[in-house]
Amino acid sequence: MDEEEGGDKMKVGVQGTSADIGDNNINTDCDDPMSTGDISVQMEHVETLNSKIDDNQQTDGSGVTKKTSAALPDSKDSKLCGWLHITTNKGPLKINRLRWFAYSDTNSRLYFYRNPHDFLPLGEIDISHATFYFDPSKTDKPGGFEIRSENKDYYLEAPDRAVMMFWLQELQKRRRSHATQRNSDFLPYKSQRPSSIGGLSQAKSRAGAPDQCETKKDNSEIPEIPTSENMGVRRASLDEWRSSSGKPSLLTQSSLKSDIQDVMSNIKKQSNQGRRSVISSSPSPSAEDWTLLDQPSRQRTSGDLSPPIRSGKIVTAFNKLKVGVRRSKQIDEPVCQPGVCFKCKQLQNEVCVLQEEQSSTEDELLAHREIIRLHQKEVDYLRRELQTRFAETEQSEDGLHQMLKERDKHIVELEYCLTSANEEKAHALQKQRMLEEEVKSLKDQVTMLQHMLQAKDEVIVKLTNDMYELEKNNNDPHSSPKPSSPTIRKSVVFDTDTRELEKLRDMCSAYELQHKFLTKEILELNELRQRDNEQHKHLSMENAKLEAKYLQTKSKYLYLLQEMKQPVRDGESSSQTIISQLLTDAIQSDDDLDEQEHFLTSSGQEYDIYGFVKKYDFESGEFDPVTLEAQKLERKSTEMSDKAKRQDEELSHQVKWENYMMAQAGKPLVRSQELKAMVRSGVPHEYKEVVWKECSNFHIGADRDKLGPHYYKQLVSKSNSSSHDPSSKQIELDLLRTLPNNRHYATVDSPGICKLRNVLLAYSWHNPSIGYCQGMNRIAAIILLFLSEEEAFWCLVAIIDYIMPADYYSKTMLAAQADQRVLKDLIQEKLPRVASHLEQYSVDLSLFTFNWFLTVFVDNIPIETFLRIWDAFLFEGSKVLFRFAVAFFKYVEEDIMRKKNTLELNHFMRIMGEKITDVQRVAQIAFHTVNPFPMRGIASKRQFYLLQVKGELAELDKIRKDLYSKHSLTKTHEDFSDDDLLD
Amino acid sequence: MAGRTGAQRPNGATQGKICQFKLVLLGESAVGKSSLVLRFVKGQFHEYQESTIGAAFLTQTVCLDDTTVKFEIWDTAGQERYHSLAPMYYRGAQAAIVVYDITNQDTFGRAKNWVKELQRQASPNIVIALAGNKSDLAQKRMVEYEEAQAYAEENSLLFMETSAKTAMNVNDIFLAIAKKLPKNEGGGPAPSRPGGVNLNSQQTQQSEGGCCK
Ligand SMILES: Nc1nc2c(ncn2[C@@H]2O[C@H](COP(=O)(O)OP(=O)(O)OP(=O)(O)O)[C@@H](O)[C@H]2O)c(=O)[nH]1
Ligand SMILES: [Mg+2]
Repeated sequence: MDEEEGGDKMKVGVQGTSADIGDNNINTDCDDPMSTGDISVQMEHVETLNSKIDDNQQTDGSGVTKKTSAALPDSKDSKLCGWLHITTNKGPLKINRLRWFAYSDTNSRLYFYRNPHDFLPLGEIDISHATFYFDPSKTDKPGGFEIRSENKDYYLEAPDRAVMMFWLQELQKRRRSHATQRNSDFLPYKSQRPSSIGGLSQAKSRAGAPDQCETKKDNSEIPEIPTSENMGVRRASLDEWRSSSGKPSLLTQSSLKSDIQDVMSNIKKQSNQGRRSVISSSPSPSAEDWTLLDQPSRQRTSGDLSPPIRSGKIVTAFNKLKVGVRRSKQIDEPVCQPGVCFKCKQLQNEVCVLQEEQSSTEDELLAHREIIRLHQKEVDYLRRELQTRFAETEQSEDGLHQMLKERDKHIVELEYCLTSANEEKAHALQKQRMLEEEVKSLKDQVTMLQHMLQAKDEVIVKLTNDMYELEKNNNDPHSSPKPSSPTIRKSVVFDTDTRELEKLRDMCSAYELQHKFLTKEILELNELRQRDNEQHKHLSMENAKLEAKYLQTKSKYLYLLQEMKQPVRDGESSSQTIISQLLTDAIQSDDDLDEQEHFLTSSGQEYDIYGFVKKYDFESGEFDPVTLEAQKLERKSTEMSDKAKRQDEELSHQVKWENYMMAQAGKPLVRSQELKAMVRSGVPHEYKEVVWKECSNFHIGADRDKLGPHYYKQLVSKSNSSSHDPSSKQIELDLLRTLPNNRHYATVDSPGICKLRNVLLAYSWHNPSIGYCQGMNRIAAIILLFLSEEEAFWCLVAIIDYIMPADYYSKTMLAAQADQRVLKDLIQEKLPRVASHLEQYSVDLSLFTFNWFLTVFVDNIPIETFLRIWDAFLFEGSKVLFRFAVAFFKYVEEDIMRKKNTLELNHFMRIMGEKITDVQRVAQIAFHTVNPFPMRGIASKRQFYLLQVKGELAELDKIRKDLYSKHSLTKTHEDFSDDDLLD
Repeated sequence: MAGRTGAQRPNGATQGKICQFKLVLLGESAVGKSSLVLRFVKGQFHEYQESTIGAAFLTQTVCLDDTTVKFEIWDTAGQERYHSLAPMYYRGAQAAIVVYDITNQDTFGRAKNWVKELQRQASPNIVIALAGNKSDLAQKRMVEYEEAQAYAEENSLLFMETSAKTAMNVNDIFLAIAKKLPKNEGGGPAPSRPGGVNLNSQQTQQSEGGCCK
């Protein structure tokens, strides 16, 4: 996809095509006194704008609107943000404040902050259901626009119109892409298997990325409004989108199109006046006049158009014209002495032109009126359709209530938008009437001027005669400037007229822009409505299906109850068979439901976002298929409801992180309390890479630099060259036995396997005293899901050499064993009930918790749960392990207390990790419920048990040595002791 | 192969007694300990079985004539450095399966060391079985059947060549152990942590455990 804004490719294109209109416009944006707020930030904004305009110009240059797809905010990296004024109504008071606005793609909301580094937004605007509007008649606030969302109006103001248009278009685009995404989220049979994650494949997965073809289609239907005013091109693009959008709702489009064409061609004629070829073929005499007048000035104009024209994007053809006229005046003044008659003629010409101008403006106005009339028709039609839709919607069923409400709201919004558009049209009409009057008065003025000119002419003739005579009498050169003074005066009068005209033209083009914008707005809204309709239809279908299924189940259920109620007399077997039949049915229909869910929420896919095979049938000691099925269903339903419950919370959390990372902007993370709290509530998927990397860097510190930038590569090449590494044998045995049900590590050629091998071998060379210990493979594999190979190596180093106590993974695993005894003490302290219960049935919890510590909980524990632990673990250190281990026991305390024999307890302990599905709850327990949790206590306990375990191990080792040396029959004796000996 | 999958009969459904035994699996890494257990408990085989860290706990019940035998299985990790943890698992075990891989001579040597350690350190009456796993890979055989058989006889061990992949002899070896275990008086619950196993104390503990009733 070529959707990166301002990519290299695009810059090249700009150099090639748009040298003449160039960047000048943009520069004036910065210099504009209107621009407010922090300059540096403003510049940043302008830069985005810049690329935006370039984009458009490229489009114009080629005359085709295919490039519009480039602006899709699909590339998440293009963050929409900037300073805007917002006006809020506090009672009768209107408060206008400068705020930092940032658009969040995740939930399609525009947040605003006091400044860009703030965490908490002052407010938010829901863009997904918003409509936009601006009023060009408010010349005092050229950048003002309105966003209407959730029945509230927000008055925002950008520094100028160009910036405003940029904002509006971006918002429209984002609203559209959000809707697309929302739609594709639910569209049937769209398997959304994310490409991959983090280190394994650089492409970041984006759940629900819209289908490529679909996106393209969308774009061709709704083009951008070209912001530069090259009329010819605009017409072309207009034609194109007109013809390409085959919407049934646009009944009047063909006539509308021709109308617009008429108007456009009128305008075009004028804007092209500099080109001979056009004029010669043009029958209009006025055009001829223009060329005559413009001839001398033309070279000039084209030669030095470079000085800043005027701010904003409305670099109209009129503008060019204006400059031309102004210049021609400037040139004419000093040159005027040779022939006064010529002057008059010229003036006359100008007047003619003016007349022509007026008539064309009149035409234009007529056309506008026509367009507006047509629009009204269209709006009426739309409204009718909306009403019928509304009526339809009302008939819907109970189950769709929620959805309906939403739809209703949307329709009301649409209606409101339409009426406001209507009002706008009426307003425009009025304006036009006013303009007409003005033109009439102008016409009068012109006739007056003509009269005046005639009189002056006579005077001039007289004066010329006088002068001629005077000249003949004495060769005095000073008398000649005399007659020029009235000319100057006249030109002043003329000047004000032209200015008036220019102003009117500006207004016209502004209205044209507004008209175009509103047309587009209508199209956009129409499309959104259609989408919603589709969704609605689909959901009702879905609902009907589910309802049918439900009724079926219910009938079966009732049938069964009925069956059971009847006293069983005539042989038990009949009801028995019915029940078993129903049970098999239940399991059967459940499988159907799986499929249903598959295209309902598209979560029925094979793998989760981390690449793990999704499974719901955990080991639970149940062998009865019906019970198993019931458990599976229960688990699924809790998962679904949990997800729904947490959605809002998660979104705000996500936004918090987004802001933090945006403010951070690549700087190393500072270990603040604030960040600690944020990490404790979980690092979002997309920031894990950065945060984990930063955390491992923090732990390793300067040691990494000491080892040099090529350290990892050296280790890898060393390990590749010598195959006699004692660890490599075990590593090879374990590679495919690490995460066999993750697709990144499933087969020999899976991408993760090679990386995993490199990282583990490199570590074994980096720290030969540890080498490789089973368990490290799981840690490395999880890191590799998020980090690149080299960074993963360093993260592994950080965990094993820095975060974990020494001797955790060493040949004796001393510290790991000691930690289990520390944990036992802590359980005794924090959960005495559990401890004594386990004691009573002589269950040794350390046999089960050992794995948790050694693998940092990558051991039959739901991935979301252990990833949360990992975030805090990497940030805070190994104490977190104790927090969570204790929290786990607290989490299942009641379950443990219910188990009343050793076997059951042992079994429960084995599957206990799987039960910890509520991440929020377990984190709450770990970080709050179990407090106080002083590190000092843990450290001293560690010290104590380390010594204890050391003593015991020494004893065991002595026994083993004795044992093997006594009967030294076996040959393998050496390598055993070699590994197991204590120093 | 023997066609007798571990019967899943609920407690008390049979008329006979119920015995509960603790069984531990020991052996070098990747010889197939976890695969054997998985085959025995669930009747499954995975080409890539997650390597065991620490140990794993599983249960399975088999029926033997009129007795129901419940196995409490501890599948340990094979890597050498985990051996310091092994006593925690074999402590109090009434049965052990020492596994080696018939395609790897080293693993047989390691198996012998385990047998020695068990005989010396574990419960005196422990029933030890030697399993030569991966018998389906006969073409890569490195340990001769006769050699292992002789060693087993010498040390009075149960011996079978098994294959977790084809299920050959898997249930059989567990059944053989179940048969050999003393059911009338032994087979109490794992007689708690403190100290090694004292056979004399077992009889008194019978009542509190869920063993043969
Ligand atoms: N061909 C064959 N392969 C087997 C057999 N049993 C196990 N394997 C394979 O051997 C590998 C190791 O098996 P595991 O059961 O994980 O070995 P383990 O003894 O538990 O290893 P650790 O957990 O590291 O101690 C796996 O890839 C199995 O697929 C067998 O009977 N035949
Ligand atoms: Mg294993």
